[in-house]
Amino acid sequence: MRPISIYTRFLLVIFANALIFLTLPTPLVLAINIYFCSFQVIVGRVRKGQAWLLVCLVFALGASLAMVFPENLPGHYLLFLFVGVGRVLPLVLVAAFMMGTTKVSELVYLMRKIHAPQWLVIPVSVLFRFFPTVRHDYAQIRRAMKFRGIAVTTGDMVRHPMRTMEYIYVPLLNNATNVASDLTSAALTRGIGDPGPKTSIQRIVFTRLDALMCALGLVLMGCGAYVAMFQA
Amino acid sequence: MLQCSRLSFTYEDASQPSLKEVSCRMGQGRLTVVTGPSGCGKTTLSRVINGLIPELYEGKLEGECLIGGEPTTARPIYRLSEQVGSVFQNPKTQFFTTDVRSELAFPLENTGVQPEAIQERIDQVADLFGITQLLDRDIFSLSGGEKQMIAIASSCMMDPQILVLDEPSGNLDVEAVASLARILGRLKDRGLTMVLIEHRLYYLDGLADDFLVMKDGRLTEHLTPTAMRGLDGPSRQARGLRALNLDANEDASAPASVATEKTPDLLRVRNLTYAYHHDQAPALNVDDLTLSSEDVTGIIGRNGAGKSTFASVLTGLLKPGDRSEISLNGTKQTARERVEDSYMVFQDVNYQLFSETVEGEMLLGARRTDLFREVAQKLDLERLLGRHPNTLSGGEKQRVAIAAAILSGKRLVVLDEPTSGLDLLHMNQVTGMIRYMRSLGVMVIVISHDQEFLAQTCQRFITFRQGRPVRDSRKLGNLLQAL
Repeated sequence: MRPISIYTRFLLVIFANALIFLTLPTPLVLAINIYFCSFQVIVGRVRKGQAWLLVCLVFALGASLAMVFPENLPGHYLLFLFVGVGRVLPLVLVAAFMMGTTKVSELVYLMRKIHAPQWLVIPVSVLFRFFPTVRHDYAQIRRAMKFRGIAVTTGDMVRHPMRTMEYIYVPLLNNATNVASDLTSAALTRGIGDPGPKTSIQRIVFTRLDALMCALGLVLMGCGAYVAMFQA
Repeated sequence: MLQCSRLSFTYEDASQPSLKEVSCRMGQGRLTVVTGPSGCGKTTLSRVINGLIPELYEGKLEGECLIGGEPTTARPIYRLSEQVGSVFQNPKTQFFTTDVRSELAFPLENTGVQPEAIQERIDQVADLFGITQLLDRDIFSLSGGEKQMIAIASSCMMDPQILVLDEPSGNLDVEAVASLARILGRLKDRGLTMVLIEHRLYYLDGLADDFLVMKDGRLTEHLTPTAMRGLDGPSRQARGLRALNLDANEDASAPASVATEKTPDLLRVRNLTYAYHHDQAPALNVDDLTLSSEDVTGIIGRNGAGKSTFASVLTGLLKPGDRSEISLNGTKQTARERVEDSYMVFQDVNYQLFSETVEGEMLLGARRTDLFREVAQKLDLERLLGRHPNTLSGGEKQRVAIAAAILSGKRLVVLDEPTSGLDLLHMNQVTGMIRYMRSLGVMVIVISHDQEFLAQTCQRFITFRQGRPVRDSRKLGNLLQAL
């Protein structure tokens, strides 16, 4: 298991967002997606990496069969799934990696380094802190719903998605409101309003592995840009 | 050190003042406990001391609160916080980062202390709190008690002279409360002045120097520890206070049985096992146990002893191992059938309020709608029926959740830590509601660490240890020893 620098992560986010605007051939997309999955493995989440790799392969297979999909509703649906949803797959891969493995303290350090304003730094750091809370809240709410006889099984959930959504998001939002007001109190009494310069105990490392992965990323990005231009 | 003179405060939207001419002094190095029933104004007082009033909560503030001779309102809150540290009730919602080390660093980073000095201070504080082994842990993986320890440690990072704690024991179990008491003792030895807002008083015997009792926004009494200890049951109840000494209320036990017309439900479990992972030893292992709706059963045990797992299997949320058998009055039941027959009231009821009105909430999924009027009246919800559940106080929300449990018509109701953070009045109310459920023939199981509450509510006590019931008794005894 090896850490990945926040700078490398920053590059990944830019890369994944840029990809949205490019239409690339399937093999190159697959190569880029595999590159993203490899980060999960590097930080030691081998299982997660494998699972995402499988998803990428399925999408690559689906996309390469796009020409043979029939000209009817299920055919269009498949086309939308593999090409449309496949387009945002790189973003999903990077998001899954970032949210699961980024330390909030590093993120805050980076944002302060690039002189992001305080009104941006604080909400973003609180947002990252919220994700694990939401996961826990969701599990609790699902349990509460079962006792009320609402969407007891996953099947019920799929059958009445709108109704289910409402029952999940009402308590979720109510809780988020309470947590937000508690957090505000805690933050204010821990000096968050101090207008003076901030410091950080965070040490940012940038290893040889980071350099290698960044270089690889830049090469893939270059290939993508070249192919996109060549096609145009 | 800290002096309040004729302090009054009215929240912006409120018609009544929450503090009325409160005057008091809290001496250097003393631990002052501010207590009184919910809504008496003690939290408001703490907010004036730590500057959240007027920084975060707006309203009309009169009189003044002086710290070292200077009014709290004279400085911005980030300067005041260097002198006054704050700890809040819910350990889950007072940290910002996701790992312990950066959480401790957070206050000092905000005020621009040099990284080397921060590291040094982290080591000092970690040593004082005995949390060095937690420094590199993910905060989400810590227990509630550990989280609260981190919260206190983080508020001590700026080396304040005063520490304000608002119900720090509210969400903690018996053991965590014991270590909270230990750390408060250690901080007191170092000369820290502490203001503690609390309902649970038992852990403060021997620690507290002064007890301030509040009621309806006024400071009504100033008691010494000796005077506090000397209060008998009725005079304590009249002030709405919980016991300082737990052995005192052993005799206030619940009645042995209640006459119901219905034949009691019997829930029998045999060879019950549950493992969270295939390759792990089972978290639960119950050979043969029968529960009756005649008794209110208290489930006690340390954290991780299997209490919640047991409740989750009984209510059908978790599917037990293959050879397990759960039967109601002799009929075997599947997990799905258990869910249909059971209800659980969570420690945090916010997760189970779904509707826009209290009435809608009570009737959502209800099978016993015929009881609606009666339950609304018994649980004192009649005047709240049109309100939005999220606008209610904590105690009121809990009453709504229990009302929904009763109206669901389920035969088993499990209450998970129903009295965390409740004052005497509300604790007694919960006991009353459970008595009412029992009279309706509902089987009630209570998971709790609250000795005072268990003693007056349950007729049977089952202690879990390492997933097994190891003691099954009609007497509670001393909880910390019983575990």
